[in-house]
Amino acid sequence: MKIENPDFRLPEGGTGKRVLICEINIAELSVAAMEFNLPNGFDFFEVLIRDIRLTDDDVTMNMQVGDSTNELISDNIYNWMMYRSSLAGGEFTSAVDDNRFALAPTGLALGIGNDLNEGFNSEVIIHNAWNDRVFFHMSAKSVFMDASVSTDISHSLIGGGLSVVRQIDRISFIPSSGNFLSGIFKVYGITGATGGA
Amino acid sequence: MRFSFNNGASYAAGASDYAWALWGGNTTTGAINQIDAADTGILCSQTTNGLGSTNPVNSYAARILLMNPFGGRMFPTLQGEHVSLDGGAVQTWAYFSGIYRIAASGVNGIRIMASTGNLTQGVFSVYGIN
Repeated sequence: MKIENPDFRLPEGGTGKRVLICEINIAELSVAAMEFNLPNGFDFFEVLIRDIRLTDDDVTMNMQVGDSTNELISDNIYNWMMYRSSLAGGEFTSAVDDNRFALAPTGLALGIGNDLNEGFNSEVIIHNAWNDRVFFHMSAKSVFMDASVSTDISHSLIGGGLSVVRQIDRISFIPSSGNFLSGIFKVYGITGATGGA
Repeated sequence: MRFSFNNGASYAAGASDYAWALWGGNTTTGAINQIDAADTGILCSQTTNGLGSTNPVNSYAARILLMNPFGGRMFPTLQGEHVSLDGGAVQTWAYFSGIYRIAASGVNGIRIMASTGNLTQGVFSVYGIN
């Protein structure tokens, strides 16, 4: 599912604003990916993802970005790091020259489940979208419970960026297998008095 | 980062004014844990892979939340996260927190500064949330 915002306009006025760009409630739909356009002119974006239920068990959540010449970029230009804490302890993982950002542990046994009590939640911060001077950056916090291993809460802190400069204008969230079944996505743009980067 | 309690006339910079903790990593050496119980400021990026200037696209991006800025009962505290590239274009990232450890004073100014040199470009946006 691709979400376009062709008629969106920045708020007028000289003060900063946090604007809800898009809110999608997936209710009993089965979609393989959720893609959002990012309007130009914001300082940064916040994406709040909550109560996501998936069709498949033990998967990770990926994020890809795109620009005007690439619907979504699948080249190996993604670098990311993740620290996961759970009942099993802490674990640091990272990837260089990957083809996506990971928003949840990539070890399948530690992955996101598909039961009602295994909902996936995340807050993703987008830096330097639409910027042709510096690299795109992102950070995120994700939490879910893995009920298949044990009743184990999983909390992940993620940071990453692209290794080349791209004018990013869209993002997509993609489970490593299966589809989204339900959940809510909210995309906010944060703009300041200067009107953005 | 340092705090001002007199509308920017000065910024607290005593040797033991702040305590901070930072956890993060980079894609080359892995996890990084830094902490200082008494410092002249709050560290807002890891120093294992310091921010670079040699690469024109070296960049620093962060979001920082200042809690309890008006003091009174609790000491002013912040938490934040940054993603950036070091001088060798290695991807780095960290979550950090810090506290002004002297008194429950009201913060009415902040100073963000590089450990050496100057800031040459970028955008800062400061928001109040109520």
